[in-house]
Amino acid sequence: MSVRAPRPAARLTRRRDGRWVAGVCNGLAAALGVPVGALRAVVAVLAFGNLPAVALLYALAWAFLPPESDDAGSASWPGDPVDAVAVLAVVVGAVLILGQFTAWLPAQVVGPAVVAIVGAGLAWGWGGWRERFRPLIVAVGVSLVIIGGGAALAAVGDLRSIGRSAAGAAVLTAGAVLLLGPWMARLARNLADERRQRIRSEERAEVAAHLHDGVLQTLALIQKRAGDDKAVRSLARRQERELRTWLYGQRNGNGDGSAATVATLLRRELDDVEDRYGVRLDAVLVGDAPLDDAGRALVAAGREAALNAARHAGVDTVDVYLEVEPDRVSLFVRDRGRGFDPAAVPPDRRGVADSISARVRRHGGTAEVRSAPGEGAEVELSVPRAPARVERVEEKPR
Amino acid sequence: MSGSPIRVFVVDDHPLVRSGVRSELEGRVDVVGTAGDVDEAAAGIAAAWPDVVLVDVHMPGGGGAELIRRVLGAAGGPAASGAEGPAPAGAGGAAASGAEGPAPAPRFLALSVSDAAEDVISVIRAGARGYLTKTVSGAELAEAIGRVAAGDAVFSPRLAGFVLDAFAGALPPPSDPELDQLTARERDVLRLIARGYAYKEVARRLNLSVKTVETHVSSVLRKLQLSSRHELSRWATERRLV
Repeated sequence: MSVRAPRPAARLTRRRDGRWVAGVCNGLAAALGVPVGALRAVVAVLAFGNLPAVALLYALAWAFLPPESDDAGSASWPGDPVDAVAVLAVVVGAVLILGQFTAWLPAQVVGPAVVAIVGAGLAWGWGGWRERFRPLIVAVGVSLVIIGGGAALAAVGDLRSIGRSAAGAAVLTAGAVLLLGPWMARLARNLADERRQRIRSEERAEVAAHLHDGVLQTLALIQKRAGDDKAVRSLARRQERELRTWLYGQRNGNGDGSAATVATLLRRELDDVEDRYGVRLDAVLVGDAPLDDAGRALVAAGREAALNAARHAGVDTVDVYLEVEPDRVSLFVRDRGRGFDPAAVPPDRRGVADSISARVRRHGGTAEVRSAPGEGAEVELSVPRAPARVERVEEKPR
Repeated sequence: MSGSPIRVFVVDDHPLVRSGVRSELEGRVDVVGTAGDVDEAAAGIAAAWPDVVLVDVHMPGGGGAELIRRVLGAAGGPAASGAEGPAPAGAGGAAASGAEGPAPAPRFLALSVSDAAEDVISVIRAGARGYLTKTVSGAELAEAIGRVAAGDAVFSPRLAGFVLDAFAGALPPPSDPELDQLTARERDVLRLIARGYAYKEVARRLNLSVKTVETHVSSVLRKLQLSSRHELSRWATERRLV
């Protein structure tokens, strides 16, 4: 969590972390690049001069500034209950003050108005608090608004005539709802349907695009090169891999080409070997670990082992198994090919010794080659893991 | 196997796969029927009552897991699939495919192109005795069918890897150590299978008999099916690895 990290070109948002009321000052300060304390002081001074105006501005800012993008976003408007209460407190305070200072708003209006505003706040703000309390709270809020509003109006005018016109308005509203309700409901339903359909067709377009770019092209290539056994197999395998990646969302590194973990790096190296030699490398990977030097050496050695198997074993498939344990990472490369006698490899053919064993030994690991003529071969590699060290190394650059 | 060839039923929604599997198994086992969806398969299996059902994981009508549940449910629960446990003593006399008595329930072997962990785990937990990917050769498939028919479990390297991954790390204390943990020996066996060893090779490597290896694998299968270890399902949905 990089709370303190300065954000380049911050958007104007409300910031939740470290806010006092609803995060308006905090967000504004972040966007302007000024210390939030200073901004708050300025706002406080302004408020001292003209509280209602500042409060109104604050409420408007709260309503229109989007919350910081990493939480639910604008979909959750009007924000969470704490925000609503905070803003309401500010607005109510402003109204109270306004009532004190203006002659045309007597105290007996201010009281019910406060009740009404709190009610509205309950209805709009707290509605989102807990889904199952929503109807209750909305009902309470609405009745508070009606009571408060009625009391306020009663204080200034003739309740009877207001009641009559209110009844008229209610009848009109009920009529409108009766007439237009079904139509509105249908409209809403249609809109939802339309949206769902659009999402579905977008999905279909994406699938079609993928199938076209990848699968159909590959099938065309395969037909064209039907005589070339090896090429066909390798094309099919590559396409299979791509499709699987796409279907099952397999994570293949960071997108920028750098692998972040042992497993992703290994997978990429194996894919490369597969593409070059047309063998199938059946990899089973258990666990994963952040990539460190030992992990890199292990994968590099594993790649050499897989290359050797692909080149010399004379088989179609090679099994690869990676297991990450708390204290070590092990990698096995096994083929059922022609095999060889490890003791009989002449010393001048140092391929295995150098590129496989030495790499992992340098990192405190072990390498073992098991093979006999006609019995295939298995290379067993293992490097120790130092979890604490790995994490420290990762965090230092920040 | 004992005299007559194993009777196999093939369920897959792709006609191409059905005919491919049938021709690959030609002469090795007796393919007594095929079906392309769950309803058709349930009816066909009830009629033919085969020894082994090869079942695709993804199918119209609920998929392989649904079919397994339906057939085994009708046959008296997953216990009748050959899993050791509180099986009613009269349920066909375990693996001895005797001539008398009611024929034991068919055993299921899942066959799929999907390597998604949740597919593998769900079909095994429904009662399948093993899981193979469709890239296996005819000979391997026939061998696996024989093994399943004999009441043993069939673990591909991939499945072994999944199990090791699912049972890795003892973060929360297991609620039932018997079911929620693998023994060291089972782990050894699974590791070798994940490395691509056949049962015979595993046995030679660990100085065990093939029968003992089969016992270990069956016991792992049982744990996989019965363990309440909740990480198992959570893990399967989280880890959509290939």
